[in-house]
Amino acid sequence: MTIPILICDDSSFARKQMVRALPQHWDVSISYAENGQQAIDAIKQGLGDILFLDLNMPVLDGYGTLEIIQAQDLPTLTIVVSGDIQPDAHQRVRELGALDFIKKPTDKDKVLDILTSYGVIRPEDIVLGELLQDSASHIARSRECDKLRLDGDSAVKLDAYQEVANVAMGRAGDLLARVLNVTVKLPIPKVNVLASSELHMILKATDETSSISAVCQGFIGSGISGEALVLFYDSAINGLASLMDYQGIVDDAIEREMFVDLSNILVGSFLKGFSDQLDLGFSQSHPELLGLHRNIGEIIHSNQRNWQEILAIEINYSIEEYNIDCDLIVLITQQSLPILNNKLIYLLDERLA
Amino acid sequence: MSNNSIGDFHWMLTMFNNIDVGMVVIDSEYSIQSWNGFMVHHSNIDAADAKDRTLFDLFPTIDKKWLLRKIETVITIENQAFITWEQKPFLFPFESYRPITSTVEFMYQNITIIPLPSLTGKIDKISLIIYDVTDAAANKIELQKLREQLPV
Repeated sequence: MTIPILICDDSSFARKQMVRALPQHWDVSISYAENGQQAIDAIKQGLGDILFLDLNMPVLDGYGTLEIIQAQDLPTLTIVVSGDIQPDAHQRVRELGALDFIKKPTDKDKVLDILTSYGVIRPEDIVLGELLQDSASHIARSRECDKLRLDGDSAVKLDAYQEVANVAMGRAGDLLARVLNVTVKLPIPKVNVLASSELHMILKATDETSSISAVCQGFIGSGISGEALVLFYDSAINGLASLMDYQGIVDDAIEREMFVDLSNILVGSFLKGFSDQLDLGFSQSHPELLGLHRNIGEIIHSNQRNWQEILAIEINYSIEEYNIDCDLIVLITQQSLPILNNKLIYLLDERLA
Repeated sequence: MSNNSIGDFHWMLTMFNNIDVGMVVIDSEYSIQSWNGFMVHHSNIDAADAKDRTLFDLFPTIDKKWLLRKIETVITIENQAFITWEQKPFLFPFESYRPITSTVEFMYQNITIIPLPSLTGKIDKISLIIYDVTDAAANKIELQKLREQLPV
C-alpha cells in the first residue's frame, strides 16, 4: 500500500536531501510543504500519514505545527528533522508529540533505523518494494533527482548554502547553549550574494545607532577563503558577564576575554560544521579584535579592492531571557564560489548514493 | 617501532599540520619532502602533490637565484638564516588571511631557514618556516605613512 509522506522544510535543498535519505524501494507518495501552515493543510487532505518536519521555518514554525497537530489530533506521525540540536529542542518536540528527532544533515541509515524501530516500515516492505522495481514512487524519485541535477548544473541556488549554513548554525548554537547553559534562539540564516559596497550597507543596517564590538577571524582551505565576523552589541555585555560568571565590574580585560571566548565557540563550531558537511579543511587565523564599543562604520573599513561579489551568511543568535544578541557573519570570497558550488553538487550526489 | 612511538608520531603530526605557521622541508635538490597543513591550506596544493616537486616548479615567481644563495649559505655556515618582510614582503604568493577586511592584499611573511643535519651530521635537508606577519607589517606601514604626514 502506498504511504503518503509529507516533507515540510522551507529549504528546497533540505527537501531534496530528505527525499534522498528515504529508504529505497519504499512504496510512498511524496508531497512537499514549505512551512507549517502548508503542512497542516496537506495533512488534512490526507497527504501526510508520515510527516518529516523542520523546526525553523517562516509563517508557521515546527513547534507551532506540532501544537496544531496535537490540539486538532490530526492523523499523522511526525518525525522532526532539524539542525537545531540543543537538548532542549529534542525535549520540547517530544512533549509536543513528535515521534523522534533526526539531526541534519539527514543520514540515510538513521532514517531507516527510526522508521523500522517505530514499525512504520517493515523489513518485508523493503523486500517487496525491491521486487516492484518500477513502482510509481521509485520513478517519481528518480525524476526528482534528474531535475535536481539539471538545477545543479546551471547554478547552485543560495538555498543550498542556506541549508548547509543552517546545519552549521545549529551546531554552533548547541555549543553556545552548552557553554552558557541556556537555550539559544536560532533564526533562519540569511544568505546573500553582495557587492563589496553592499557589504558595508548590510553591516550598517545591523545597527546604525548603538555601539558594538567585533571580532574577526580569517579562514582558508581547499581553495575557499573568507572571514567570520562576530558582532556583540553593547547592550548584551552585562547579560554575558553574568552568564559567564564574571563577578564585579566588567572591565576591558574581561570584555575582551568574553568576546574572544564566545567568538571561538561560534566561529570554530560553525566552520567545523560547514567544512565537515562539504568535506573541506580550513586553517583559521588568530582572532582579531576589530574594535570595542564603536559604531559599525568605524569598525569595518571597506576594502579598497574591488570585489565583484561576496557570499554573506548572516546569523543572529539571541538569548532572550538575558537580552543577549550577537551576529555571526561569514563572508566568502568570489573566487571560492565555483569550488563551493561544485562541492554542493557533489554533496547532493553523494547522498543519492 | 613500539606502539608508544607511533602514538607520539601521531600527535606530533597533528600538531605539525595544525600549527598556524608554514613548515616546509626540502632536500639538497630543492625538492619538497614535507609540506604542512598551513602550506596546504594557503597554497591549495596538497601535501601529496607537493612532494618531490621543487619550490621553483610550484611557484615560478620565486626568485630562484636569490633563494638559492640564502639556502647555500645556511648549508655552508650550518646555521639558521632569517628573511624579514621588510627586505622581501613575501616568498610565497599567498593571499591575506583576512581577504575582505584586511587593508593589504597579500600575506607578509617572515621566513626562517634552518639546516637539518642527518644522523651522520651532514646537512642534507633544510627547513623553511613561514610566519604570517601581515598584521604587524600593515600596522607599521600605516604608521610610517602617518609619520610622514607629520610636520618635521
